[in-house]
Amino acid sequence: MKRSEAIRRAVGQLPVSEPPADLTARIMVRLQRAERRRRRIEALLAGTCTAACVAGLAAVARWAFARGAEAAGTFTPPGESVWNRLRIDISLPAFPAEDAALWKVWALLAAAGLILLAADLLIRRRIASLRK
Amino acid sequence: MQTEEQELIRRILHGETDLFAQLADRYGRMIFALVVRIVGRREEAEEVTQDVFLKAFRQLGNFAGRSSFQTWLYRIACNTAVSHVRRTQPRSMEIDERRLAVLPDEEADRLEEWTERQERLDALTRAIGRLDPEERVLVTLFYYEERSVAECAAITALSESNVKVRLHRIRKKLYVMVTAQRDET
Repeated sequence: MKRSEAIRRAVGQLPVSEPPADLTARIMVRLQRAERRRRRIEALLAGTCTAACVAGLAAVARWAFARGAEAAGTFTPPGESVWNRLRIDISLPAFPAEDAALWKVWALLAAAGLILLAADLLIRRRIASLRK
Repeated sequence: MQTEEQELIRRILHGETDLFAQLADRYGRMIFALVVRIVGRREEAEEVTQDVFLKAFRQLGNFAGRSSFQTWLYRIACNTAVSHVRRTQPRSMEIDERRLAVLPDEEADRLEEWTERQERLDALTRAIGRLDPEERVLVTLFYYEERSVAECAAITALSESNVKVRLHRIRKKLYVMVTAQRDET
């Protein structure tokens, strides 16, 4: 492939000034700012994910609890303890049949939250292994 | 250099973020010189150069060492600068493809005679400024920085034959642009 002195000289004529003396310092300031922002977003995502999981688990627990209570009318904690002899009557509100599907939605949300948490863990492991 | 650089990269990836300043110091001037030739404006080039190093920092974990760190960084710089130009500057002028197709190679070689005349060189400089950003990248790398076709291919992620075809076309295009400009005046 032929070189071209004319093109080389023409490119050399383009006004190119020196980079600013504090270029590295500016890069590092932006880099540290971006890193702080990334960490904040990660913490926010992790917090949201955890809250979603907790809310999901609570929803599932409530659903299971309500089903048990509907079947027995009362709730008796299992196991041989003082609690076993203590019968706690908890009256739960009666949920209309048309709302029954809502419990499934909550369960789905909980499952989605757990999947997101698992995905987050997998991605973090993948990143960590790539950096090694 | 390679081993020392790899060690530096390994330490940065293990959390010693401040060491990235050494890489920025080492390559900052080189990347700025390339970017300013593609972007054309100093202020924008400063911003784009910073973006290049930020991207490099974020993607440092993906640097597999298949090419040199400099080549890898150049590739990021070219992509970032080209995207910036595409986003912020109007498209460069269209060229008559038929004229390019029929232009004999020997005629395009007459570019070399222009080194003797300053006004022709100035016209050539202006024509280079009107090329597509991808073409400006190749012109800078091959003709100005005198890199090999293989290096240009590695940086631009094109095949070597594609780089050769493009360089050949750029030569003809520059000739057509300058002569068309001369004919108009």
